[in-house]
Amino acid sequence: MNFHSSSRIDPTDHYIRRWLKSGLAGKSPPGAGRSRLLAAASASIGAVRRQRSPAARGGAAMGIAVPPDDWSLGLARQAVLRWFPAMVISYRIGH
Amino acid sequence: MAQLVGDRTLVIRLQQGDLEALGALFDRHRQLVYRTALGITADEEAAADLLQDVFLRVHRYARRIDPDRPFEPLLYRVTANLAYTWVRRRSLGLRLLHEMGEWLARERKPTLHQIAEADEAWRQVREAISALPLPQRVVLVLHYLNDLSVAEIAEILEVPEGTIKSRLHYGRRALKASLGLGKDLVPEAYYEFS
Repeated sequence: MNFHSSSRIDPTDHYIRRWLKSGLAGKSPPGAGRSRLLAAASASIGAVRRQRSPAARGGAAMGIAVPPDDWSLGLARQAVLRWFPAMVISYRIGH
Repeated sequence: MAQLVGDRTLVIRLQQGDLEALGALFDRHRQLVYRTALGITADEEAAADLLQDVFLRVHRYARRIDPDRPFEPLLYRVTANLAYTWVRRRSLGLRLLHEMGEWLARERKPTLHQIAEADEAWRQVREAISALPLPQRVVLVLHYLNDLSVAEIAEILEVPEGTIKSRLHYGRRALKASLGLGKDLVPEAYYEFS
């Protein structure tokens, strides 16, 4: 049997390792974790599918022409007023 | 090796949308993730929540996982990152209210969970670990609890090896002081037989 200073083991390391492992040894996660996880995972799949579904994105996603709503028309009107105010004014005067 | 092949197959199945594969990965690694999270947060409730979060992230980002690489380092990285964030948030003070509520509840009626917490070994670990600065705590847990080398920890945390060594050194020193280690250890233990 030889003692080698090169193969020295620090007792503090050994102690800390054993101390930490024994302190946490009796600790286990709650039993219902698996079913909770799978339920949350499948719920997230459902949410993503709903977001991507054609119905969720309106008729345009299904290739159906969708008429512009009032809000879109309002935006278009604002843009026209900003870009071509003179034309809109002359149009109003003309009518 | 069998473990590696098993993880690889499960990750591929998960990428194909097989939720049972997620369950199998959870069963296989839950103890590792839970204890790592518990070591870092020193909070059982948080560790249970983080366990869920880690595997939900694995599920959400399954397509980004390379099945040919070992799975455990990825789990360590996600666990350490989430636990890190949790501890930092708590240190902002959000946790204080919750703890006060827990304390009030404990005064009235101890639960099984709280009785288990009274376990001496765990209490010691919790107190000593909680007193360490967070970066040192993460490194100590990965090194002593999970038996990871300095190089492995550096890769997982994406931090230079020198930084890991320094955190290990100071964390070890602080633990030694708080546990009263050093002088009373048996001299023979300094050497191993060859």
